[in-house]
Formats: sequence, structure tokens, C-alpha cells
Amino acid sequence: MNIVNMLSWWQWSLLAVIPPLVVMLYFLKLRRLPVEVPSTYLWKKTIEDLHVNSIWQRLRQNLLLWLQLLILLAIILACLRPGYRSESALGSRSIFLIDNSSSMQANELGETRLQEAKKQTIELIKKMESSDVAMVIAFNDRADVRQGYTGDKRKLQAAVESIVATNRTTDLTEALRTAAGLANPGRTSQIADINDVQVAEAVPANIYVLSDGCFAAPQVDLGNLKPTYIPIGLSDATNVAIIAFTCQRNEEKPGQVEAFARIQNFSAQPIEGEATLKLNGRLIDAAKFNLKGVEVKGLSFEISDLEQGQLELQLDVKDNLKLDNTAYAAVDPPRQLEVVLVTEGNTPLRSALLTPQAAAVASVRTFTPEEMEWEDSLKLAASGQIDLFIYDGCSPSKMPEANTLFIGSTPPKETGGDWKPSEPTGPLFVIDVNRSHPLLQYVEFGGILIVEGISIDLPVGGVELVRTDSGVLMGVAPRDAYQDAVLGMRLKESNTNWPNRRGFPVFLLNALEYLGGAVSSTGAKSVRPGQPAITNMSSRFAKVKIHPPTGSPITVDRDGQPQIIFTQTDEMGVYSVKSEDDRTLQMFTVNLFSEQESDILPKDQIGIGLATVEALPQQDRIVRVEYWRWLLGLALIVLMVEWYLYNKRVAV
Amino acid sequence: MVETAAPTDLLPPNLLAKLERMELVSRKVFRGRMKGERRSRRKGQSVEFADFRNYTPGDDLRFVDWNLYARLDKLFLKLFLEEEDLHVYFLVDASPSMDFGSPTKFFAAQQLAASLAFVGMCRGDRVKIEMLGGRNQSSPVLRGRSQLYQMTDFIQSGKPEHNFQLVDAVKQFCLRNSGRGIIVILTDLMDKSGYESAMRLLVGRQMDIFVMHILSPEELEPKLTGDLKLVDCEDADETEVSVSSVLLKRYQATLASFIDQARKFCSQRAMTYLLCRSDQGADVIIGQYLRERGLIR
Repeated sequence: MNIVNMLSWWQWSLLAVIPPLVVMLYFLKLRRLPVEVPSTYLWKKTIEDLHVNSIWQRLRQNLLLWLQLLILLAIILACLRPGYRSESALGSRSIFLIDNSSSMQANELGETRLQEAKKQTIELIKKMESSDVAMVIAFNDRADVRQGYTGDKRKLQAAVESIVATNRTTDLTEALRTAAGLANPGRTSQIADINDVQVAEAVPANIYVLSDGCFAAPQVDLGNLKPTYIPIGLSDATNVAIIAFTCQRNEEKPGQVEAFARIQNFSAQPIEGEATLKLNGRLIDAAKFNLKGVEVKGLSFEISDLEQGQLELQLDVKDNLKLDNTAYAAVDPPRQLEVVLVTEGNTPLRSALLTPQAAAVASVRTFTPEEMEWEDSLKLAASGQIDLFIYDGCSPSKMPEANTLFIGSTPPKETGGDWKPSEPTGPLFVIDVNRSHPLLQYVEFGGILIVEGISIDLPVGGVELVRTDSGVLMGVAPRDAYQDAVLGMRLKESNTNWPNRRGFPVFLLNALEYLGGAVSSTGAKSVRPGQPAITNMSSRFAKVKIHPPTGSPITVDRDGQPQIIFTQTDEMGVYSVKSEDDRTLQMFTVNLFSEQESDILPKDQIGIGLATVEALPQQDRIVRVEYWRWLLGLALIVLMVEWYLYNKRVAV
Repeated sequence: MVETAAPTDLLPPNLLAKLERMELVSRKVFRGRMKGERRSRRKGQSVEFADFRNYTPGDDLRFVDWNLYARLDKLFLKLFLEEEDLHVYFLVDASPSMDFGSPTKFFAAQQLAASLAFVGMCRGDRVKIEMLGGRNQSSPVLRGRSQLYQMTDFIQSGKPEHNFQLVDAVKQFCLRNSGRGIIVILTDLMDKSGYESAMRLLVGRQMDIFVMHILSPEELEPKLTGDLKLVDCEDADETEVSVSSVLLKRYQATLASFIDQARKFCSQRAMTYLLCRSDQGADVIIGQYLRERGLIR
């Protein structure tokens, strides 16, 4: 049995004044109601033996006073926080590593694991001797030193109290390195070097890892550090998690998006529940699932008529970790493309690229074939910043690092693949069009006159798009990571009437979307909480605003960088990248998607380097049995008894 | 504080009708002053035989028993009992403590005194009523039914105003009244100096004493609660009590012991003790209670 002083000296002084005050109140004369009676003769005789003049005798008989003093005594004892705990010493140096990763938000203990870990740490701190020092480090995938070595228990407790839960994953490596570095400040590897002064001797320290053990074994040499693993959490915790959630456009059906999710039951008991899918906050689909113990299942949803939007998949299930029951995905809006048109001058082509629809998708730069051979232009072609090169009646000496569309010409043989053009012939009659291909959707070839053109043999893997009576007029073929499309006729009024037809601008728009990649076939990128999100963006947006799921937007100055690296991704949800005129350019999502974190069963042991640290057995835990609640309960009961007695007037 | 009642309240007609048929009973035989309806120690001229005695010259020859002379040849004189009137005194305690209860104890005492006095008056007794107070007020000797209104007027004129000691008032009464007879004292016996010495004075007069102890329901079953300061209406003495069930039980025990003590005191001295409740009503007390106890026939 020991006590914890909860009050300062002046608070104790105040408390000490109260009991004498209560006794003094009893000495004060009670204000009584005067009542006239015929004679006090009998009353005087009645109270003769009760009426005692000595104040001490008066107090002796006053049950209410004694009850009140008993209440006060119970409260004072409660303030002393009597309790029973282990008496073993902690050691002179202690380092408390407190896990505040996402798995520590599991709530099977009634409170979160983090709260339990904090409570246990505070109990350990209270056990410290006056000469002991300790350090507090909170860790998730990075380490955060909350308090360096100090013997001030208040500072240590405040540091522990200040630790808040994060959505991040866990990695003990950095925390252990930090602990080792801070614990042994003078340790260097150059002991033989006489100039390398050893600042301090390496002092052994105890490391207390308060965690559920949901992390990979860190490869760290602990040196003089002696680790103790205090597992937090119960082994009967249940959890169902979304471990993957993506969406993809159906290439064959424009506007249709397919969403796929993988859910896993990490507990041994079977669990059933319901998954609901929301689009921009509106419920659009739901599915029931039934998972056996430790089973993985896939869910898929089809969404039609979706240009862009935010998808939220939520599992309605009773488990102990809510964080991984929600996942986000986003369908990006069409991307702003960088397109280079290489031409001697082609009015129909330029007009088609300047339609409002095309201008919304792409910004077009025009070069002549000569300009394209300049050094700057070649660098640009090799940089990968351009999404699409359109070669009108010409071909480059070296194929650019981008998708290409050749009109009336073919890629160079050396670098452009095995395209084999024939000699120009004419007139040509279109006999077959591959309308299922995205390039030719909604494009009509009926009634088109072609005076002259070339037929082409496609390289391996090429797809035939348009066939005329003399051979393939248009085709598309892959080149490394890129695609090259070839149209075997010049777009001049003297050669064809196609540019005057409605199908031509549609074809160019298709080319921009398909070859330029304006429409991303996959959903927006997803990163884990705390990980940097990298987005590619057209350089014409000097500044963009990033809207997190909650809170005010963050403005990012690009400084000419093609990539935006955003690091403030602690919050889970959909982040929107918007232009200054508030147009959504791109989106990315932050999801946990970590089997390691979702597997919340506390581990019996953790590996550090080659060593294995067993969990501290339950009976060795520093558990303090508190009595103050019982004392307060007693005070309450006595108060009720006193009230009853007062009302019943059982005694004088 | 209840005002003194109207005459009809004091003696309602139906009560008067009952009282007319009653008679005060004395366990002792006293000498009266005038010819009355009661037997006297004196030998006189009633029809009731008392004794014989030898004839002495000068005796009235009408009382010689001639039959006896014929048989024994001696002259004997026949003696008859004399019938005389009886002194009946009513001592009504008019201390402020009597002015309590609902109806007040004083009203109950007035009503009882008036009723019993009327019974006595109807039987030709010498009735005298004395209001015990700072200065005792005595009524004239009342005799005969015709003085009913004089009697009620006197009784109603009494006010429980002055604080006094019972012994002083009784002493005053004893000094002024020498006649023997019945004394009915109507009091609550609430005298802090004690009622015993007053009673002893009366006992010394060798009279037939009836103590009618009148208590109000408020005294018998007090309905008090809480922390109170009890103020004595006579001497303004204060007593602080916290009324609880325990205290009330103790009070009841004290009251019972007080009554028991008074009863014992009276019985040991051949006084008749009668406990009356002020809320009981004179007709009930007289018609049943006093008849059972022998004061009324």
C-alpha cells in the first residue's frame, strides 16, 4: 500500500481547515423556531437527561457530525490516492517509446490502446526514484522526441499526455535509432582516433516499448539499451479492414468506372457486415459480405456516367479499429495536356486543335520541322514533359519520349519501329473502320474522298484502324512505353475532304484524349497517411491549391517544377488539386491500406535486430490498484445515510 | 386564545336537562349550616332513625318511644338524623397555562365547574366558586336553581390572565372559607413549584377533595417537529428541543409518570383524582366519567 500526493501544500492547508470548521459550525447555536407552550415543565423534565452542557458530550451524541467528519475523512484519503503497486525499481535511465500509429486507435479496452499506453507510461513515471531520469519518444513511421532526459516527473507526464493518435503506419527503426543516439550521446565509431573526444560514456538505459507490436522487425543495434516490450491490447480484438480500393475507367465504355476493393478479416471469428459506396457523399451502391476467420474477399462496383468524382467505401461492421473501415478513391478529371504540333502550316489541323473542347484538354505549341531539329526542341522532345507530338507531313530524326501521331508520314525506321509505308497511290476508298477503338469512336468515314495516300504495314503489336482498298490507311502500334499512330494521307483540301467533315475534330479530340492521356484510365493515386503525394501537372499552372479533406486549402508555388510533392497527408480522405480559378485539375487519396496496421492482434514478441523481445508477462506489469474510487463511493454512501438520518430525525 | 364562551355554550339546554337529575355525592358527612337535603352529623328532625338515648328531664316528649316504654318500663328517646345543606367549593385554576388547547383547558374547567355547580345548586347545596389567580375571585354562596345566571355570569367573568403559584391561591381560599364539604379543584397541575403543597393544605381541611386534572390534546399528544424553542406562556422560560421520535417517546413517558405521580399522591391522601381531556366535552365527562368515579349520582 502506498499513496500518491495529489494536492499541493496550500490545497492541503485548505482541506485541513474544513474539519475544524465543520466542528465549529456545530458549536454555533442553531436557530430554532419559537413555539409557545402552556408549560415547559414537562419538556424540561424530558430533556433533563439528554440536555448536557459539556460541548464534548454534545458532540459525542451528534451522529450527523460524526457522519460529516467521516465523509471528509474519506475525501481526504481519496485525495491521497492510496493504492497497491509493484515496488520494483525502473532503473536509473529509462526511455519510453510510445506507439501512436493508426493501430493504436483500436478500442477493445474500452478506451484506445494509445490511452492505455499513456496511462501505463505515467504509472511507470510515477515509480521513478528522485535520481532517475527518463525520456519520452512517440513513434509511428517516424520518431518524435517529446521529452529529452529529465528527472522532472511533471515534464515527463506532460510530454506523455501531449501524445496524440496519428493515422500513420509503424516503423520502430527510427525511434530506436533516435533513442540510441540520444541515450549514448558520445558514442562514435572512431574510438582509436585521439582527436575524436568521447563526450560521455555510453550509459546503459532501459527501453520500454509500449505498442501492440504491429510493425516489421527493425534492424538496429541497440548497444547498451535493454529493451522491454509492454504489449498493449487484447488478443480477442476483432478487425475487418479495406486493404485495397481502386477504380478504373472502362476503356470500351466511356464514362463507366469500375471500383474494386479488397477486404480482409484479421480475426479468427467470422464477421458479416455491409459495404456502402458513396459518390461525392451520395450513396450509390451497397453490398453485403460475410467473412470467415482470416479471409480475404474482393468487392467490385460499376458506376456509369462518371466524368470525375470522389468515391468513399465504408464497411458497416462491428470491430475494434474504425480507421481502416473507410477507404477513398477518386476519378481524376481530364488532364491538361502539353501537345506539340510539327507542321509547315496546316489550317484545317490547327483549326481542329483550337476548338473549345480541344483547347480545354490541351495546350498546343507549334514548331516547323526545322525548328524541331534545334537543340532546345530536341531536349524538349527527350524530356518527357510533352504528352503528344503531332507530325504533319514530316518525321523527326529521333523519336520523342512521348506518344506520337503521324499524318501523311511514318516514324523513322531507326528509332520509330518497323513501320513499312508503300508508295502513294490513289484514289483510295475506305472499306473498313475499327470503331471500337477509342481513337475512332464517333468518327464517321462515309462519303470521304481521298485522292492519294499510302498504305502501311504495321509493326508487331500494331492495331489496324482504317483499311482502304489498297491497304491499311491508319494504325496504332506500341513503342516502349509509348504509342504511335499513323494516318497515311495528307490533310490538304486538294487531297481529301475529311477536314471539312464533323468527324475530323472528333478524331483529333479522341487522339488528344487517348494518345495524350488526357483521360486517365486509372483512378487517382493513393498514398498512405504521412507519405508524400507526388503529382504531375501541366507547367502552365504556376500556383495550385490543394484542398485537404477538412480544413482550409494549402497554396503550393511550383517554381517551374513539373512535379508537385505534397507532404501534409496525415488526414485520410480525398485531396483535390485545384487551379487558381478553382478548377479541379487532379485528385489523390490518402488511405491506410496496410495489412500490418490492420492486423491489430497484439504480438507476443517483437524482433529487434537479431534479438527477440518477449512481451512482459501480465503479472509483472506495473498495475496500480486504486482505492480512491471506493473511498469516494463510501463518502457518497455516508452522505446518503446522513441525509436519511437528517430527514428521519432518528437521533437528536 | 379563545374568548370566554357564551352562556349557552357553557351550559347548553340539553346538558342542563341532564344535570337537573343528578346529585353530588360526598363520601363524608359534614355539618351544614342550614336545613337542607343532606344528612348531617347533627341529630334532627328527619324521618331517618339514628339512635336511642336515655330520657333526661326536659327532653321533648314527642320523641319518647312509647312502645319501648311499654315493654321495658323505661323512658328512651328516639333520635333522628338531621338533614342539612352541603358546602361545595369549586376551585378553578385561572393561570395562563389553562388558556391552551382547542377548546382551551380553561373553557373545559369553566364548563365542568358550571355543570357541577348547577347540580349542587339544584340539590340545595351551598355552592361557592373560586377563580384561583393572583387574587382569588370568589362568587357569593349560590343556592337554588334561581341563581343559575348569577353563577354562569361569575364563571364567564373569569379570565386566565395572572400567573400565580397554586399554593398561594389555595392558601388564600383556606383562610377565607372555613366551612367543610366538597372541594372540586379544576387545574392542569402545571406549577413549576409543585402542586403537592397546595394539595396538602386542602387535605388539612379534612374535606372531600376531587382533583380534576385537565390536559389538552396538545399536551397529551404534541404534534411538534423540528428544532424548536419552546416558550413557557407563564414565565417566558425557554427550552430548546430538537423534536424527534425518540424525544417524543421520552415526553410521553414523562407525561405518564407525571400523571401517575399525581394519581398516587391523591389516592394516598384520600383525594379523588380525575384526568380529563379538554376536548372531551362536559356532558361526556359528567355523564359517564364522573358518574363512574362517584362524584355524581
